[in-house]
Amino acid sequence: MSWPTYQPLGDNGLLISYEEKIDPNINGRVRFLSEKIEEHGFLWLCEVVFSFRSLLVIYDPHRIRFPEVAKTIKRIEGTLQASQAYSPNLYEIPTAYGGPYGPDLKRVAKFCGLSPQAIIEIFSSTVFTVYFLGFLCAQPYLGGLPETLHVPRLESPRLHVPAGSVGMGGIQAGVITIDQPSGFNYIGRTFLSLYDPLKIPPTYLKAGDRIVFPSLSEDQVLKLKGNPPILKGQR
Amino acid sequence: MKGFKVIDPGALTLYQDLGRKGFRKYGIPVSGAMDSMALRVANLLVGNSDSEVGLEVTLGGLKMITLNPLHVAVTGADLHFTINGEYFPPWRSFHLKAGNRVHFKNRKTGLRSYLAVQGGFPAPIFLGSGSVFQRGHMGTPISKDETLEIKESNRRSLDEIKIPEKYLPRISERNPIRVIMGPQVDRFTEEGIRQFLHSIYKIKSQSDRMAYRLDGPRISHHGKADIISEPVMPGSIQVPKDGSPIILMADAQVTGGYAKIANVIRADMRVLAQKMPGEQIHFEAVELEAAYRALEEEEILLSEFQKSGPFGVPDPM
Repeated sequence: MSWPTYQPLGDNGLLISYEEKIDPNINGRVRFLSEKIEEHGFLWLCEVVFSFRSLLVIYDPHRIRFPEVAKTIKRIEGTLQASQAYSPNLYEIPTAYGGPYGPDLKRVAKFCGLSPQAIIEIFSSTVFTVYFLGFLCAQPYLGGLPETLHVPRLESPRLHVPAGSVGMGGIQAGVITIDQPSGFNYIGRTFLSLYDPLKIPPTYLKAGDRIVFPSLSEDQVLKLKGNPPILKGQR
Repeated sequence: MKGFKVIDPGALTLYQDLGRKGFRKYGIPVSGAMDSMALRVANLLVGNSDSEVGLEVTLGGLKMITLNPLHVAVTGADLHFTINGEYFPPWRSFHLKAGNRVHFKNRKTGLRSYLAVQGGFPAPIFLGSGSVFQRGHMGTPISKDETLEIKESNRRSLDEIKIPEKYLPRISERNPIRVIMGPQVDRFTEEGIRQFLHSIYKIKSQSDRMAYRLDGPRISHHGKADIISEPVMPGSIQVPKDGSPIILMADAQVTGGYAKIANVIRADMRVLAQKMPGEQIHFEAVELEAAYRALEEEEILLSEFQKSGPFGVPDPM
């Protein structure tokens, strides 16, 4: 098959899919294409949504039809340069690891054959990349989890995981922004503001940004409650 | 101005408009009226713009007293709407006096009724929309003893109007639900696709504004049911490993990791919106052209009614 593919998603969506893998270069191209499409300011364009390797163009069927949308997007895709338009920010999200905030830390350590302290050291020194914001309420999907920390998701998801929980599942890492059910393994918690429905946009993070989760004491992390992620410059 | 005093909020009554636009890339659902056509008509009947905030009354039970003279319209499901005890079918507007008792007593047909009021409700706005999305901390359902404010309107007074039969959105009884197949139709076995298109599915009780879960013959996959998470939309039909389809609705998440067998066409989303848990549906695959035609027909009907009606287009602000 030749990538990307262009398929209808219902009668007002065009789904563009790249190779079936989670890869920073593919994701970079998806992000870049979404920016380019938005820049055109097409009147028929309702929204662009993207994830790891796919991009959804939502169009107004009263103004345009699928074949025309596909033709237009193919043309834009064909002229994409390799360079990135957006220079990402680097943020710190201080996190309290273990204890009541990291219910899965010990199990993760055992699975990886390492000490809990070693898990915290590896995780907190990793620079993650925000691949996209999705699911519900500005949830960042993170790439860059070291292979030593690849731990399968829980067989049966927990019904209630509190907002701010930091953890991993499979090859992905993440921090959740609202209370929700989840099958990730959670090793820590942050109290920073990652989602605010009164702010436009409702998050400080943007796809492409880099994040680190430095380990701080419970007291220090609680003191930062409600603050935005700490900007450490551009990457 | 004060509009209503809520005596009983009913099963679920929410402020909804036509939804939150432009924030899906931040993971924010569209939300908005499940039966958007019904809300649009209700608004037009009272001289509002069609996207004004109205009340989405689910299942019924809502009981309120008017605190001022109000011009209101009721559309969508027939939830046995009464004024001072007298029953009125939906799809019409009413002049209410202060002290009138309005009550959506119980469900007769459909599931969601819409109440619009001239001027509209000043619902709290989150990300540009007054639509309540509770999981995202955007608003809460109407509650007991609450006083609902109404935005002042200096629009001309309109007559009470009943929508002529020929303009009534042909609601609810339409079956099957039309779908566009794909995008992961290749993830399913031939038998699975046959089951999907030829079986009757029952809407499960665990169904809400986010998704309808369906009960019926299992739809079998080729290999894995999971895909790398990708964008989804209201109308997307996901099939997880257990083979039971899930139709995403107005409050749907923006990305999902299950293979999608099909997507419901726009024109039939409001048909689904009026289906109750326990009711049965089945699907029919159509081509894009047919879907566009269905959508166009609705708009034509609406604009013809607008032109014919005594209320015309909303006055400029």
